Amino acid sequence: MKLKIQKNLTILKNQKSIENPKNQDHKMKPYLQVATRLFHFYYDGFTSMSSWGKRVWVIIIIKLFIIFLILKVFFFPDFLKKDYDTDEQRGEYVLDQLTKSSESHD
Amino acid sequence: MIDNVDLALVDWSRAQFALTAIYHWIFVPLTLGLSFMIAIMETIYVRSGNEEWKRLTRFWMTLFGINFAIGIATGIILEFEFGTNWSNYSWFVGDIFGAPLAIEGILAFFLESTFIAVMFFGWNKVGKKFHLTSSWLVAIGASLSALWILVANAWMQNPVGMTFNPETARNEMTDFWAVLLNPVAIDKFLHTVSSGFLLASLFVLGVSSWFLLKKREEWLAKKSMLIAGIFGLFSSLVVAFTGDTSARTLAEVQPVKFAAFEAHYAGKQNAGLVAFGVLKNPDNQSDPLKIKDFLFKIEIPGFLSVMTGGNKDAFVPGIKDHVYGLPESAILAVAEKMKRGSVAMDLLNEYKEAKKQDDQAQAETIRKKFQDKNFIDEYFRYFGYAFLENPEDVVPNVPVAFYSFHLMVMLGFLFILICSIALYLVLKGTIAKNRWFLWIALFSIPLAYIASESGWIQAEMGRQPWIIQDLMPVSAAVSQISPGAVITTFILFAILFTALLIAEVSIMIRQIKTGPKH
Repeated sequence: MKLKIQKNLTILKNQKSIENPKNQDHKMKPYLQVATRLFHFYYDGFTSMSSWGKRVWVIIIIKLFIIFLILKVFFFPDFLKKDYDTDEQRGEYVLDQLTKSSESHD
Repeated sequence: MIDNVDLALVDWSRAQFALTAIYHWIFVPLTLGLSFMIAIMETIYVRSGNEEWKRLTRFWMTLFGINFAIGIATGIILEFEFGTNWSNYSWFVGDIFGAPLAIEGILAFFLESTFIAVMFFGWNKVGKKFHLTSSWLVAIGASLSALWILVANAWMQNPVGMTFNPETARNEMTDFWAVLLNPVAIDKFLHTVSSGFLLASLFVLGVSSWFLLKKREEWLAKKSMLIAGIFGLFSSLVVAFTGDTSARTLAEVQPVKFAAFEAHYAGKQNAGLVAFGVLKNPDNQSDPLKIKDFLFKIEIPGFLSVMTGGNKDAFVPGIKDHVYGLPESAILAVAEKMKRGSVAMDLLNEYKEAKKQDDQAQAETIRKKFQDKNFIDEYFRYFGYAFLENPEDVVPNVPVAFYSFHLMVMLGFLFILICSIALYLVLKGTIAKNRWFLWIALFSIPLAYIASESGWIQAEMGRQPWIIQDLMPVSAAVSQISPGAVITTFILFAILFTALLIAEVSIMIRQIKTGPKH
């Protein structure tokens, strides 16, 4: 009976060492070790975040969604890139605009 | 000013940019200053090993985090506006604006994704010294990030280190160091960043005062006030010194703006510095300059002459002198500058015609002329004047420039006093008993924001009509888009930013009320 319990404990220990990424590190290539540690650093940081942190992240995500997927796409196209294909055309257009603007009061 | 430009479009585009910039600037100065104070507090914790300093650091770090997170990406909208509303300008400035902004973007990305993460997620996971290094790098990185934006802005106030290429219709950077070490950039960086430090010091003083008024967290509040008092006093003195050097630089590179700050219309010797004054409406409505005299003023005699010329007999030219010229002081009249600007503009038209006729030889000759130093100094530097209709168009809104400038300066001196008193009372050990001062310190928080925003208002309104000093007025910089589209996005921004501000203030107040964790 004692032997059986000891055997089970050894199995459990081995299982834990496989699950624990820190124990896996020595088997990984160095860059993978760094990547895994980084992942866990951020993962642990986000999962154990305080309530204000979570609230602020919700605001960040909503804000970035509004800025990049609504405002940028629908309201703020790059005026020159939208209407002209090449830099040469854009340059000609601006040159026209500048010289036209100054002509009006000559 | 320019007939074929829709003034509603120009005004709404300006209003939208102003709204975005003002809101964006609510978040920036606190980030700049609080990051340094947190790094100082954490340094004390690491050196002393006292866990109370860690608790104090983490409390201010929470408020820093809220401000940083809510403010993040609000500045990117300004870049959207450049591409959509100000496309002529964006194209005309070429890589001069693009390069600093790209450096800022890369810096901000690395800063935000790495060291800020260590600051917030790294407690008890990385070594104390590594964590402290990250906190310092966040502080230094935030100021370096601001440097590039301010370099780009300074170039608009004093364009240097470039030549105009008519082939691409863009300015091309010829001297990176001239752009980076532009005297306006150095003054602007030091003044703006130190003003951010001062604002954050007043924020820490104000919040700490609230704790003392509520008789809570006395140790934390007093220690915070000690750090903020020292940091704030030092910063306020730097702000005053750099404000003075900025004004001297302005008197040389943006003399009309400088004269507008003082509502100094007629040049004179022994010119006084107006400490405080109230302007009245012009006596003569038909006067094209619409000169506004003082209803009353408190003046420091001779000080403006001493500031600009080194002695009280120095002549300080006024707005009138800059508009109508003053040969004895080698000040060109705007009418003459308009003629010279038109010579550069005519040459640009000739270039356009030569390209149309496929006359490559003529086009190449003109292109080279735009790189000729004499032509640049005599004609191209006045290029923007070709867009003006009347010489008086170079005068900004004097009351806005005057009041915003004087409000900023008066509050700046008040803050020196507040920081000095705070430091004195903390060192004397009687800060908690002086409740009158605690209330003043608390109410200095909104005053700090008003002063900070006033600084930008005077800088940007004071340089009107120019978007790039002497080279491009705002009316030539706008895109030909519908004013309706600009009004729509103006309203959208007003809603979005107001929501963000409400979120920031409410989350911050809740965290302050919760206090530091035990």
